[in-house]
Parts: sequence; structure tokens; C-alpha cells
Amino acid sequence: MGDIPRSVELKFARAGEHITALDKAIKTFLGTKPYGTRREVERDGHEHVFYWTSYEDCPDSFGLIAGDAIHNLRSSLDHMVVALAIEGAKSSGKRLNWDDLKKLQFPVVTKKPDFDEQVRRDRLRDVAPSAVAFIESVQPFIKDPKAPDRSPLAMLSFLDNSDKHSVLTTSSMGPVAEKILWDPDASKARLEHPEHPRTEVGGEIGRFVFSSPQREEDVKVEFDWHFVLMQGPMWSLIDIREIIRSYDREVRGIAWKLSREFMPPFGAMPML
Amino acid sequence: MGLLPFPLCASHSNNARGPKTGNSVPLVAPIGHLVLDDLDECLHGAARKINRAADLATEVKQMCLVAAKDNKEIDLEYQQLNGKKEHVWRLREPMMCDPQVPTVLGDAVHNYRTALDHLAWSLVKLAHFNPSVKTFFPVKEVEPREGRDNITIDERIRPTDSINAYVQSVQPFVTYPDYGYFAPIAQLHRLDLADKHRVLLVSVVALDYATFVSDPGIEVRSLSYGGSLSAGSIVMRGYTTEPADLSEGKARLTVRLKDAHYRVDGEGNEIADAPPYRLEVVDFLSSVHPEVSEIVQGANALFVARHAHTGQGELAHFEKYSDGTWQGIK
Repeated sequence: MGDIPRSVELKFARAGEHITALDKAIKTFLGTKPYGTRREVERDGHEHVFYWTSYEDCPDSFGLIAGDAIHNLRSSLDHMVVALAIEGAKSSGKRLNWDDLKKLQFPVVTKKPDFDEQVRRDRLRDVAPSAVAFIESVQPFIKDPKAPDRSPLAMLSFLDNSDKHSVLTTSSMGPVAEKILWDPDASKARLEHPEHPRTEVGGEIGRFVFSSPQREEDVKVEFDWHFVLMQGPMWSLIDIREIIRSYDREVRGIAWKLSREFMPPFGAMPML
Repeated sequence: MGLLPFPLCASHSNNARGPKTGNSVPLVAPIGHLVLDDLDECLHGAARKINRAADLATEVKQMCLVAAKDNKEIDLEYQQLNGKKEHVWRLREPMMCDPQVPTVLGDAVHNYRTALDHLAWSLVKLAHFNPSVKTFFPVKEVEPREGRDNITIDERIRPTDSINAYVQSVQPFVTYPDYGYFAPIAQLHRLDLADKHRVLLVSVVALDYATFVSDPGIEVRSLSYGGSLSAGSIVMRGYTTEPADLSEGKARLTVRLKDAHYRVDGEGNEIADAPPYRLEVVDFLSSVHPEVSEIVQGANALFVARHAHTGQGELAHFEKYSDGTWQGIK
């Protein structure tokens, strides 16, 4: 039974720092009360419309910090593969050179042929066959065959690539208010968003449309702002911090299993 | 009455252009923010990455400053051996580097590198193509042989296009002829690869220089520097033909990257017997920032010029003026 390699551990720790920093940055920003709303009851109570009374763009730092957290988690997997390859090479009396190391990578693919192609390209060269089998078993096309693109590993990889090559994570975060304090089914409420939302004071946020008139005091809304990614396949209403934490758990689980099963012990090394 | 998830609003918060003001620290400063105002909208992703990298680099530099004892000279302990003919100078205390340096440095490196990829992304869009995950900014240390490795950010962009000309013009083999391997963006590229896929960028406190004072008539032979930097380790050693009293020594420290991947030649082949090349962290960060910033700002001229020539075809070429600005010429 082995321990998590030091470099993997440090990447996890760094990702953890970014997650904490993101949490702090979001709390600090929300502490300035950047969002204010007012409600107007229209059509004799059939529609309750919310408008911005204050609105501020979220700081760029949110996306940038999130991008760094994601990158550290993604590269921790690559570091894990390198550690496994070094062990594998050592056991067969080989020393890996720079060219070997450059090719190594933890593949994240959504189709079996793509995985085979990654293996053919020496991404897992010198990694023990049993470890390769484990790495294949956590691939999105095995773990989430119905929606491999939506699996945590695939999304982590997608976000890392997006952060590297486009501005997805640096310009696409938006606030969401998530709580209402009544039963939308009982009141047969539906929420309509304006076709062209204006994120500025006076802009309409959305309107609740009821089948029967409702008094304001009966349909209370609690504003609990958090930030979500708003573009691409990552569109979701889940707090970005929660998304990253879920990736963190997933990646740590994989690294822990690989270390435990396929790495030699390094001595006392605390788990993060 | 239950508490139900019911998203009230889901709207874009950031406008595409980002902040309207930027820190006006000039780019020649060791680490300064890229001024966003002057950049085309598409380049703001790259500019944000540079500014994020600059913040991280400042953090790293601060840690290096602490490790290097604020760049002040430190006292070395002097010891005479072999009847005062051998002289050694030792460190009085252990020299440690913040264990966070490698990871924060890795993030700084990655942000600078991705600024270039963001630039590539924007340039592909400027050429009216859709960028893909394969879009990246090439970094070539040596000039590709004719007919091979066409330097482009996207195969669909015509070789004669000014975008390709620009990308080629900022390649290490062009900007640092014969020394492309040591160009800041070449080092950046290798460090990012190493940090991402291989090993952490291990940083160590190293000796910048060590000195002592002696009478003019005393000749000190075979003076050598070296050694690890643990407490009591010898960092300088010299010999005199006659017994001599030399002075206590002084030394200055620096933080360097200890990474064997620098033992490769310009073609990327490993040199088996080469001594490890240790990159000085602060110098590297100070050199890479203006380099990456200038590449992004230089590309701005392509955007400005193309927008000015909308519908009039591609630009023929571009020029860099003596004041450092770029201008696209039709």
C-alpha cells in the first residue's frame, strides 16, 4: 500500500488554497452587497416581476482563481501518471528521459477508441498494466456511458482546456438567486426570463407567473447569491465552488486508489 | 412551507470587455499589470491571464526575497585548515525556501503560458475561423527546417497571412537568434510542460556570489564556490601557498529552479553529462512578463488594423516601430 506522491499532494494542496481563496473572494464581494432587487406585482397579482436596483459585474478574479484550481486538479492526475511511470520504469531497470516524460499524461476521453489512441501515443507508457486498466475504468465512457461528456472527469478536462484556450472561465460567471419560500407546484408558478436580459439597474431579472393572484407576503423570495458558469456545456445552476469541490473529491479518490494499489509506500506522508 | 431551489435569475455578469481601467504600471517594470484599455476586446482574456500571472509572480518574488534574506549580504563563517593554507567559508544558518514557491510559481508560469494560448484563440477568431481545443500558441526555439513544422496557430490560416507572420516574428528563434532555447517564452513553455505533466518546479536557495577580503600580496588559488546550502556547509574554498589570515566572508543568495530538464539541447534532446542549468526564479519572472505582455500588445495592432480595413482584404504585413508599437500595413 503506497502513499500519494508528494507532487500530487502539493497540487491538491494548491487547488485547495485556490478553492479557499475563491470562497473568500466571493464572500468579500457579496459582503459589499452588489445585488439589489425590487419586486413589482403586476396583473393584479398574477405576475411578480423582479428588477435590479443594484448590479455589479463579478470580479475577473473569480474565473481566474477557479481556472487555477481546476488546472491544479487536472495536472495532479498527470503527475500521478508520471509517478506511476517512474515506478514502472524503475522496476524494469529503466530511467525515463525528458522525451518519455513529455508524452505522459492522464488521458480523459469519452470514447474507448480515443483511450486506445492515447495508450498508443505512449501517454501511459511504463505504467503497470493493472494501473492502466484502473485508469481506463474511471474514464467517462465507462463511468458515465450515457452522458460521458457530463462526467466529472470530462468536465474537469473540458474546463481546464477552456481556461487554457479561451475565455470561458474568465468571462462567463454570473450570479444566481436560488431560494423561494413557497411551493411552486402548489401555486402553479412558472418563472420567465426576459429574452434579452439587461444586467443593469432597472433591468428585469425575471417574472413569476401564477395561475391565480398571489399576495407578496405569500410568495417570499430569499436572495442567496452564488456564482455559476454560464457558457458552454458547463451551464448549470450549481455554485462554482461546489462544482470544483466535487472535482476535487473525484480526483483525490482516483489518486488515492492509484497510490494505494500501485505505488510503493514512501513513509509517513499525511493525507490531505 | 419548503425551501426549494428555484433559480430566479441566471444572467451574464461580466461584460466581454472587462474592467474599463487598468493598473498603469509600465510594462518595463519587473512585474506590472497589462493595461487593458488599449487592447482589443478579444485580447482581454490574454490580458487578464497576464495580470493574474503578474499577481502570482509578485507573490513568488516576495517569497524569494525572504529566502534570499532581502538580497542583503550575509556573513560567512571563516575557517583555516591545513596550517592556514586552506581556507573555507561556511554558512552560519540553514537557507530555506518557502515550500509554497514551486506551486505558486507553477501557477504563475501556467497563467503566462495560457495568456499566449488565449492570444492564439483570439487570432484564430480574427481570421474568421472557429478556434478548437487544438488551438495553441506555438513556441519554437529553433527555426523549423524548410517544408516542415509550418509555424501557425491554425492550419486553416494562409501561410502568407499577417497573423502567421506576426506569430512567427515573436518566436524565440527569431527574437533570440542562436539563443532561442534561452528566450523567456521558450523557458516558459518548457516550465509549463514540466509543471503540468512531470514534476513540480523545485526551487532551491543558491549562492549568487561570495566574497572575502585579503591583503593584496596574498594570492588565493583554486577558489571554488559550491556546496549545498544547509547550515555549516562550505560555500567557498581557497588555498594559499603560505599560511595566511583571510577575512570572514560575505555572500548573497538567490533562488533558482533545480530541474534536470534543462539538460537538453536546442533540439530538445537530453544531454547526458551536462551540468544542470539552474534558472534564477526572479530573473526569469522579470524577463517573461514584459515578453508575454509585448507579444499580446503587439497583436493588438493586428486587430486594430484589421478592423480599420474591414472588407478590404487581409493586411500585407506589419511593422514594429522604434517606439515599440506595432502597426499593421496594408
